[in-house]
Amino acid sequence: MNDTTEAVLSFSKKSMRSRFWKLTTLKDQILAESAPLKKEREELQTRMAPIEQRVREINAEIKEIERPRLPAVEQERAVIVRALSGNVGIGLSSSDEE
Amino acid sequence: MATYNKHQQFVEDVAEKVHDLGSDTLTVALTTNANAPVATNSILSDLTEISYTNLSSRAITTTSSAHTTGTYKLTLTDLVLSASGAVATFRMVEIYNDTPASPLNPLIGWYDHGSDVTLASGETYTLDFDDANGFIQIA
Repeated sequence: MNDTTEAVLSFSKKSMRSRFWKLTTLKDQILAESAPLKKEREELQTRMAPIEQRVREINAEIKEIERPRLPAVEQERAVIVRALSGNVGIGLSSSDEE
Repeated sequence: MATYNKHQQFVEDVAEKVHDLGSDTLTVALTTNANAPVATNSILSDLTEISYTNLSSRAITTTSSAHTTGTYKLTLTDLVLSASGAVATFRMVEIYNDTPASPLNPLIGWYDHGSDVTLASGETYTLDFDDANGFIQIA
């Protein structure tokens, strides 16, 4: 390594370290800017948690009611429609009942 | 069933908590060929739907929503749309999520029936979803 190369590397390392710390300051500034919004989001999420929990419970209850009964009903309807070549009439009248 | 076409926004919406495909109510929207959906549409209000007068419920029943060895599959039950009177002509069958409020009614994908469909009173249109491969898979 000659003197010139060493000087360039030395300068380069120095400038890179300087840039690193400038970027670190910039990063801290950006995070400081968004911090109040993150805090507000966290507070909202805390308030929403009980509602979200209730939605999850309702989802589970809906599934309990609909599955597997509804798919079976829908599937049978589709089979009947195919057997009737798509023409199902417009509803059940008393004379249709067997 | 006809070829499935994906809305581009859907993949982002899946990754960003818009959809709960295991619980939300997926629903059918119908359009004419002139108002066909395009891949860049993202919510239902982007589409021009037909009038649903005389048509039965368009809500789809979910059969299952689960993964097998890391590949997620959403299976939907065949849906029979029945007409209690003449129904407006349609060709495109859109599937959207009716549950989210924000964004409202995000689109998922659509099928092109290939020709105009007209339903008279007593007639039906069946959406025959793929049982083996499901409606969609995510790997």
